Amino acid sequence: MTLTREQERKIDLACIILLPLGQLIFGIASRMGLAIGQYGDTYIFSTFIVMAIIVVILPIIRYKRWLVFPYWFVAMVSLCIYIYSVPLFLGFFDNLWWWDEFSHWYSSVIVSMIVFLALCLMQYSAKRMYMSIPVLAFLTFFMGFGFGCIWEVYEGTVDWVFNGSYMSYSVFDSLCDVHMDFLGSLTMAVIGAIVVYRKPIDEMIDGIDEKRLIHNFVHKDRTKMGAKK
Amino acid sequence: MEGGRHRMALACYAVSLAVSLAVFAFGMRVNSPSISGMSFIAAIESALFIFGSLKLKKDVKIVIPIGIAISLGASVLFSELFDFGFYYGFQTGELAIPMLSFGIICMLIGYCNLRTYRELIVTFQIFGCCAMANVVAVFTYALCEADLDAGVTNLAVIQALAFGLVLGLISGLVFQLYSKFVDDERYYTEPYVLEGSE
Repeated sequence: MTLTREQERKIDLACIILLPLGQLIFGIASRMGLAIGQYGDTYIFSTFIVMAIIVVILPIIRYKRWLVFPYWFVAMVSLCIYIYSVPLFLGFFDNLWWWDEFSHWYSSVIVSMIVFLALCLMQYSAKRMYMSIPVLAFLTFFMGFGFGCIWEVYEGTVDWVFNGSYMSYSVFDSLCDVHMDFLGSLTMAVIGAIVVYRKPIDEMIDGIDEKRLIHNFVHKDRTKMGAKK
Repeated sequence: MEGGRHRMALACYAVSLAVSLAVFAFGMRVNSPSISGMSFIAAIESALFIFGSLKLKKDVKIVIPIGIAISLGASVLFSELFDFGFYYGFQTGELAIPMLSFGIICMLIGYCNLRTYRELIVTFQIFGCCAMANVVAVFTYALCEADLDAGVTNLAVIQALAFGLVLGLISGLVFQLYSKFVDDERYYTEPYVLEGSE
């Protein structure tokens, strides 16, 4: 089924309103003291506010058509944000021992997916750039796994700034998280390689860079050289 | 001349492999996750350099294996000089991270025909350093699991990861500045990383 431009615009607008609204409703509920778990209401409320801002970024980019991401991609990234925030309200991180690991694995898959899509976009836009499929898969894994380190540093910084243990649950928390990041980025690297083997990058990416923003960025040197001439 | 160059490159890779294995043995003896982890990756990289040289007939520039061997030596030396607690050279042992990450990128360009731009190489370098720091965490976990826990805390692990990130940012910036001042070309292909193809 192919959607018209007008239908897409309505869906994007609905995403811009509904996705942060869900976060805000949970945020207000936590402020009313309805949250389950050991975290303070203020921490959960602030998390929902931040998540409400983050979850709206992708739909806005799509609505403005800076980059026209497929809806499955928007859905998976939004789900990732909800998988982190709502269980914080429901106390999953305290009561389900595997939830932290699962959320790390899923987040790592999503981050690697963003890396994979960005690399595919680069390859598609810059005709001089070349990555074979194994290299594409390796770089997806490499960068997705590397992002896990940045996230752990962020977790440590939050705990240090707020002088508590909001994001690090035990002595081995970061060590376990890193293992899940490894598995998550590996999962996406394998999936990405299979997808690109079955479907050419051009076919997959075609239409995302509608306004040719990435194309122009990649070719900025040549544009400048052309202007000089 | 070419044969001599090839033999010299092979000798450098062999030296790098020998240094990596020696440092790995040392790291295991003193229960240092960072030194063991870094030298483990260095040994794999050196072995791949030898494989590439013999099988693919492609020699990565000898400055890379030499840099890896020197950085491993420096990490052991700094670990001797500075003690950050928990494990031997817990943070100073990570000094080899930028060279190892750069070695992987060079292999991708040299052996796997990766053709890319300077900015992307800088990005790969930063994330690569972070991935290497994660390897230290994996080795730390293995040591903790093996009942050799030196009272390591979550904060110490995060500090080690942060050090890897800082090394990545610095090395990425250095590469960006160096390549901008020395070389105008923004596009990197095989001749930049392979011996005798410039």
